[in-house]
Amino acid sequence: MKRKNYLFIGAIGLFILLISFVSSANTYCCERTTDGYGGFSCVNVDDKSKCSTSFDSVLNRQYQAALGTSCESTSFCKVGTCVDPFAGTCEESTKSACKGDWKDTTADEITQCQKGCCLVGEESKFVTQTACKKLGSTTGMEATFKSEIKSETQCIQMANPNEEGACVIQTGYERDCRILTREGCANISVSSGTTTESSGFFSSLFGTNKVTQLTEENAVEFYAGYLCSANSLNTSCGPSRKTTCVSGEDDVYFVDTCGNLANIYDSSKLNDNTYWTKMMEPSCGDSSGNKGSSSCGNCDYNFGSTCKSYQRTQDEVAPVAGENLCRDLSCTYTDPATKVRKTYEHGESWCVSSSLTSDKYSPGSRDYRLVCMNNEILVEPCDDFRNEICIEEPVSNAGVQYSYAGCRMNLWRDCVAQTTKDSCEQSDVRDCKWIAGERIGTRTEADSELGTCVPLYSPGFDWWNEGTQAEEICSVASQMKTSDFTSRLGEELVQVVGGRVDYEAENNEKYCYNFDFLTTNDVRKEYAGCDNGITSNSKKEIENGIAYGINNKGWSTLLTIASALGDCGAKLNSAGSAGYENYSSVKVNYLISGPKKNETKTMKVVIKNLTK
Amino acid sequence: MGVNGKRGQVTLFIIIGIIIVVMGVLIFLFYPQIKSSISSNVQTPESFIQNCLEEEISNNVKIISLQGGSLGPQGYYLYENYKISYLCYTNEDLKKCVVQKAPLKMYIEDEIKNSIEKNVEQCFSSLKESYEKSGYDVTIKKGDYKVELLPKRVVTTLNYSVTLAKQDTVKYENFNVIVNNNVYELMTIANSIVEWERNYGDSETTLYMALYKDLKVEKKKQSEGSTIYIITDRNNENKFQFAVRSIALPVGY
Repeated sequence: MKRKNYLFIGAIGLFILLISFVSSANTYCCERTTDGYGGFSCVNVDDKSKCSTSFDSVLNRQYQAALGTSCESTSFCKVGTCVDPFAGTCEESTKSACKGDWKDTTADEITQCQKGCCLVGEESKFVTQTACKKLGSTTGMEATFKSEIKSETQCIQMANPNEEGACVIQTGYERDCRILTREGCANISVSSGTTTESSGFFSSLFGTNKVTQLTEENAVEFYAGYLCSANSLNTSCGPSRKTTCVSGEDDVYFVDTCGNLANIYDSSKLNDNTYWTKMMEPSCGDSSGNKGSSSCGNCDYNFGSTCKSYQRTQDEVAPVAGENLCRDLSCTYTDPATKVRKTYEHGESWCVSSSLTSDKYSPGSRDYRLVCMNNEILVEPCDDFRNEICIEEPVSNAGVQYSYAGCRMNLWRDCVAQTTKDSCEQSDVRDCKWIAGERIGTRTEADSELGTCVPLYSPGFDWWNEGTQAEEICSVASQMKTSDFTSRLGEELVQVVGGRVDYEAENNEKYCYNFDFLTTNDVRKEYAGCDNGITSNSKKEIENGIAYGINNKGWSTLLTIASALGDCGAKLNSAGSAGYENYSSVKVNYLISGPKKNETKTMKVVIKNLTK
Repeated sequence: MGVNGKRGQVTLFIIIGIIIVVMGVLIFLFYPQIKSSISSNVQTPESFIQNCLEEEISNNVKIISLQGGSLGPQGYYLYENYKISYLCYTNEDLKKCVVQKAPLKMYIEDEIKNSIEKNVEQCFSSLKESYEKSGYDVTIKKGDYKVELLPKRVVTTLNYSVTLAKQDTVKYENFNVIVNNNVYELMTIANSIVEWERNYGDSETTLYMALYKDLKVEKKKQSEGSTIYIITDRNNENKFQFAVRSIALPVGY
């Protein structure tokens, strides 16, 4: 009996091994599955009819299939690099999935796949050299490729606009002005060429995209670092109270009367001529994003603010000038279980369980990672069946605590195999806990530790699916209980059905019981009562049989072990509802003796914890 | 009114007449388009084709973007009534996925191209009809066309040639239809995520949102091991959705 559990676990393992061995023998690697099976590339299937034999015009042959081998070891499903020579992109793929030029090597070893930083106009992109040239040709701007920049983050920070300033265009007596780069301003020809930009009386009637012929009397001048509203430039543009947000930028900007961007919004500088003359860095604000500030538009996305239009329902104060301000990107969240309301900063993440009970790992529950991003809470579910759990860590930054969470794998699968407390609770390699007092598996007389290693975060099972392992895993606990009760109480046990044991807290000896069971005549009988503790000698008589009660401390421990193995044992689900017949249940073995001596009946003992 | 008064009136009218003539000459000198537009009240072939194809291309790009780069997905995951095709897939647990579409840009361009084949034919037929009604002799020489995803736009280049003959003969070649859509940018992010999924079975979405402020990247893990990614541009609500199944964890042992 003692060895039964060990043999049983070993048998399961061997069975699984045999199944996988047999499966691989009947496995086909399809270069492409049929359309009816999704048309997938390089997938292992159990039936050759799922493999497509169609002709592929790119490969110039029929699709292939291989028996008894996984796709990784076939030549036609070998992973290489798919190169698009025109776009300059390189992606890892198999030959059959590649519409471009397939190379039997990794991207690192292909020169044309090496990425660098491409500076095009005011933007930067982390792409290959070919892609960079393409960007230049399609935008009509000069593209510079910097191969020494090896990270995308660094490349984005390289985005550095060319020197900007006021481009003043004199047409007749009109002095129009636009904020342009030196190059952009130089492109506006002074001689008898044409321009896409025009100004003056006729433009205001017919629009600004008409052809304008500039004569030799007209002039284009560039003033580096100057704003169009500078008095000295004597343009038709001047200061205004208007502000705007700029795509790709965090800050709130002043806009002059011609619609050109000026400096960052600072209400104290509305009438400051110096601030409207030259481009300058902002001096206002709290250097941490100026969230919700009515007077300063020096926002910072990394600190949780960005330029947005003022909304009375969202922003506490209106801007002093204009319609835009630095919106606070934090989020407010109310925990559905505790009803506690908390504010999270932009970028913070935290964990939430779908369980409405105190047991976070109850049947049906799932962990979620919530992220506050741009005033919005994004919900990312961790893997289902509690294959992943959410963990949360506080991170300190400049004395402020931020929450950071992530989903990670639940390492429960080798818990039951651990026989000592130390190996069980090695938290760097597994997620297990030690329950003292009962043991699954082999136990020797020399064992000083009597206990079982079980999952710390109880996993879930797909018990409704054919082929589920739920029954096998949960029955390990049932096996254990039979052998242990036999050895400890000296009583023989058989299976019975239809009972309920109500028991109170572990330290309280009082418990109540209620058995509904079927006799050999299939008549349902009820037997109920309460006791102040059961010893091995006490017996409870049932009509046509005798039931032996068990020590309720043992019950509690066994219940804990069974529950921890997974969606097993007597527990409430994540919604707080009990299982079978409004109670959670577990199989229990009892002896029934009397006129029907030694006759076995199957009894499902239903347990309700009165303290919960 | 005396003789002097009448002379004054005539003089005034002459002066006004001279001013009007001078203004007219000036207008024609500075705005030659006005002259050409007066002589013709039909839109140019380029704008005709642009108007004819733009909406169809735009709609198809949106559908393709919502279905993982496919117009009629085959290998897909059904999520919120969308058939979202897998960009990287394996049916086995604990195994890395296999990329299903490479290069993704080329796949999407081909899908868009195939989706507008009939529309291209119809638009040029309509163009011919429209100009013939205006008294033109129209000759259309059919060619090939291609779709290209570029930053912030989708450009369809049609190597068709249209010759219009009335009083003069004018030939139009290489039509370009430009649709503003940033599927190129969203697709680039998708490629990066697929690379992470292929190598590690997961990706960190907050990294992309930290680098690209206008982006929202959502990750929805499904019970059978697939993951749906939804990349949204907050400025215009354009979305690119796709499915991945990589290093899926089994239920139980």
